[in-house]
Amino acid sequence: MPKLDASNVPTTEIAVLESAFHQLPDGALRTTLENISLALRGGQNTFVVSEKEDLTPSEAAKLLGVSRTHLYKILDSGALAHHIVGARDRRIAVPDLIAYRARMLAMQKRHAEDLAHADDLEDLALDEFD
Amino acid sequence: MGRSRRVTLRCATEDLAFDWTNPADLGNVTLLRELAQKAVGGDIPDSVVRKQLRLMPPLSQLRHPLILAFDDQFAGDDDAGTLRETISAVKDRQWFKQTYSARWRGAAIVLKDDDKETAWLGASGYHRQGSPEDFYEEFARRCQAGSGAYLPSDEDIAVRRIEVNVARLDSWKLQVHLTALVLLDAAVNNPENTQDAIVLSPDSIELLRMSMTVVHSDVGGVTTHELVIELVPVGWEYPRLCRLTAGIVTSAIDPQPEAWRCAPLLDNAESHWTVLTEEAMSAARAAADSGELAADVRPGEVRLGTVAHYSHRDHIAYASVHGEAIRAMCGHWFVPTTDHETKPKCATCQEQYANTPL
Repeated sequence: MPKLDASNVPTTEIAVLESAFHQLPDGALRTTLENISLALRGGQNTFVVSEKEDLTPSEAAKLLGVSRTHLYKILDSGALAHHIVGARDRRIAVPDLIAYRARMLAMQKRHAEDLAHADDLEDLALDEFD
Repeated sequence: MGRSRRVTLRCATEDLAFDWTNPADLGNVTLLRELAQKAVGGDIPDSVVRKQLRLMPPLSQLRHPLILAFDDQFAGDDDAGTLRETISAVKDRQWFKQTYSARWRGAAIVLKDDDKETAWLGASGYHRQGSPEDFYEEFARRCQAGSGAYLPSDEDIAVRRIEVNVARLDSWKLQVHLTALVLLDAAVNNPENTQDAIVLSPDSIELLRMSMTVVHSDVGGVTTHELVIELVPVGWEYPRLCRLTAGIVTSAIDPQPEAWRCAPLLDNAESHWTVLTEEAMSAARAAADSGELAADVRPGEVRLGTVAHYSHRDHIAYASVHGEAIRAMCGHWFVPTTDHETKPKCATCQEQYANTPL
């Protein structure tokens, strides 16, 4: 997975990128290039991954924002599909990771809401026992 | 402690029509009675009645002078040394006279249920100045065919059952909190080895399997203790109890929601991850040593909104209205509250905001 290190991309090059996407009509490609230039201007390192590409566990952990220990638990549970290359190295397909990330964000959202409305959740829990 | 005291919903809403110190209590108990009747008929779940109970004082503390006088009269453990005047004209049960000033008269009864005594205020009346009518004579007349109509009815029993369940849920929460800390202590002492415990529901049915794994790692000479908790529900029948468990377990270990990340595992299982604080490990140590919790522990209590996060203005407006969570620039999910101005700003959010070209 190639990483664009923001500090190594001079602003002159970002300007070239910007003039390039300004020539494009509104659409997916223009939005994508615009996002890359915005991220680089903001000093954020950027990953560009294609769908066909496979990710290593550390790369996947970084993209999900979880620790490696945590990622291995996720892989062990079977919630995020992976395959083995070579002897025992695990790889994760990009579409699987993106689908999993959406589930993860939905869970984090629900968990934040459960904490904020704990009284409501507790009342409803009363209906689950006699 | 003493025995419990209760006023029947009928007595509170029909007999005690006026003279309330806090008239809002009459409105609330009237609404409670309507809901209790629907709950008896199976038309609404217990949770709706519980919501109403949250809005009002306990039934023995409703602010009417006769109820408070009754509450005080029956506060003792038993009647040793207390002389009570009975309403002798009513023969089928022993009813006690309960008065407040020269005006309010009531009829109270002590009932036994599973060896636990409850005093009930079942009927009452108002004595108008100069009136020849006497409440106790009137009560005896109405009880000629038996006093059963003044005993607690299904609606009263339903409310009491729900209150008992609330108390059971509270002690269950304490148990879950304690289990989490004891398991954490075992996991800290056996790094890399997963420690398991089964969490039971308040009905003692297997609810979920909780596992904890602690990994010690050295980052630049500093030892950090990572914790991964896995919560694997046994089935799909108790989603709310399972979600409640997740909140209690995580807040028992670190009440700061920002300290946690969660991720879905297979089916309805989930994992929670944090870096352990010294405070968490010593709390776990203390709980494992003593087998009990400090009296001031409030399970499930989190420190919400201690820092202000950055998120998109439109998203904040929408989420505030709907009580939904939104994602901050730092990646943390939160339900916005209105008082962010006074709070310290999240450092990660602030940094990312500063770097965003506008």
